[in-house]
Amino acid sequence: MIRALFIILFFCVFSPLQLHAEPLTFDLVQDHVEITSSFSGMPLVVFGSVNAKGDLAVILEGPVKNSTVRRKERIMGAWINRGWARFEGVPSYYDFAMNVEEGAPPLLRDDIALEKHLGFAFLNEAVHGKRHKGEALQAFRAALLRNKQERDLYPLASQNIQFISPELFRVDFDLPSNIPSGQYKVRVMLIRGGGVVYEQVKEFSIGLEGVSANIYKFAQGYSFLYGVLCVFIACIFGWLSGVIVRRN
Amino acid sequence: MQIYLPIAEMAVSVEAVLFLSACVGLLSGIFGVGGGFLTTPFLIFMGIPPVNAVATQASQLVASSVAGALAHFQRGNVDFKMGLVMMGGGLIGSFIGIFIFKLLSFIGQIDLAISLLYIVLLGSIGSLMLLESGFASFFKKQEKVSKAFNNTNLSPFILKLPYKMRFPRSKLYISVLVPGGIGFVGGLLASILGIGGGFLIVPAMIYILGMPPLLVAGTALFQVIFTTASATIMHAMVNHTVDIVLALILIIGGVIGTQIGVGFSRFFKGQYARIILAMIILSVCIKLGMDLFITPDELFSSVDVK
Repeated sequence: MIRALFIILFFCVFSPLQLHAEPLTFDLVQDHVEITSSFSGMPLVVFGSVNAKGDLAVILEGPVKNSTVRRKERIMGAWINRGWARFEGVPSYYDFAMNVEEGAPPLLRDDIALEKHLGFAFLNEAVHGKRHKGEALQAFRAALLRNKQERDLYPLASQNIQFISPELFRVDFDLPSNIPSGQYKVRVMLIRGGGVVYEQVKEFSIGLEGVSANIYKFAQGYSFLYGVLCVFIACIFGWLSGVIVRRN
Repeated sequence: MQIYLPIAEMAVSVEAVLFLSACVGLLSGIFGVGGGFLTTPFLIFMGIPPVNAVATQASQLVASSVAGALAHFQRGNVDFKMGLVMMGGGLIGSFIGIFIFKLLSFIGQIDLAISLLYIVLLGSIGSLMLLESGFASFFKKQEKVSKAFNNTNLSPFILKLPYKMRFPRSKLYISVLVPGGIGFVGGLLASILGIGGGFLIVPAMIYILGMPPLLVAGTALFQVIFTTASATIMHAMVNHTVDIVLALILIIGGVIGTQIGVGFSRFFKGQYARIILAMIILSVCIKLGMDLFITPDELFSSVDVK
């Protein structure tokens, strides 16, 4: 919170001076997010100042992965995975904010929105799907989006950008407990006339910390020893349990 | 209290998992069954990915089988030679099971395989238990070990198998392929389903192997330690899906539940207890079957791969 106040103070004092330097500048309250054993989601706050005319869009994107989408079909009465499609370059986490109201015309031209990953309707199209079967790829695309939204990895609608003063803005993203770890990107774009006139990018990391991180690293790096450790602990508890039974 | 599972990469409620494992522990304390066949489906119902549920449950079974085998060992009811031969088959079974598991995950059919196997196993065991009260004899050890080597009950096919070996403790002269084969099936089940397979191994040891019932439970538990330990280590190495935090909660809950269950078991009349257990097994089976046959709200599922 102290850091947040500092950032606000910084922007209050310095933003008029930057008038001729950059039309837009921003920072994050946290430069990394730690997933500890008590992690159950947390807010991510973006602060910034803008001193040029235009609309704003803020995009938060997680590490890129490939996704396999499977569709169940009825086979002998049972619902069984049958058709599938693989999508490449899918952000594992995605959220965005715009300073436009619902129902307003889109900020960017369709092709630019696609390229800049603004809005999940366009993100959906930006996904490069490989067609493995004759099925309509569109159904698989829509399902991938739905699936991500259900798991809170993609938003249902864009977030709001709050203006504290005409220049100062703030966006509150809400990170869920199941957020994938990795390198994240925040992009803030200044948009005029359907095109991006200025864009700034900041990266931050989300990673396991403390005990969780050590367990994860140990399980990945020394998987045999990790397995043996699990068995050893189980044996100790089993033995203890046996001893307690006999005492009683 | 929510706790983050570092391997399953999700947060779960500690109380819910403790409650679940204590309930299953209670059942295993009362009925003397491992209970893996109940924990794994319930973990999956709770939203834990099947791959993590199966692998982690295998490590919990190590704890419960160590506790059970120790008790039988102190009463001298373990045939170690037989147990080691079964273990040999069990280790091979758990090894092959891991690769079947991996292959099924790759082609996207692991959830289906787990559901189907559970439906078949739980359905047949549950209905058998309900229909036949004589099933009671599987879990009781009343008969005395007879003096002579007893091969009379065995089928001619089994007697013809090669690689015969003497098992003095069980008074058997039988091909190692038979106990090895039973252990092999147990190992497969441990790797694919995260269960000890006691409910399948124990009847097989009595009817196929013709072992003295007194030695069956202890010997079965002895080899289950090794098949589940091997399944745990293999899952940790090949699939990286064993979650030690989840395992600890399951083990602690199981220990607490078993203690309460052992105390309770004095007040339970065997016949009613078995009917209740059969009902529980059948309802899990029905729930899994409904999930498979009722049209799901969402036909699509997705997984991220690196």
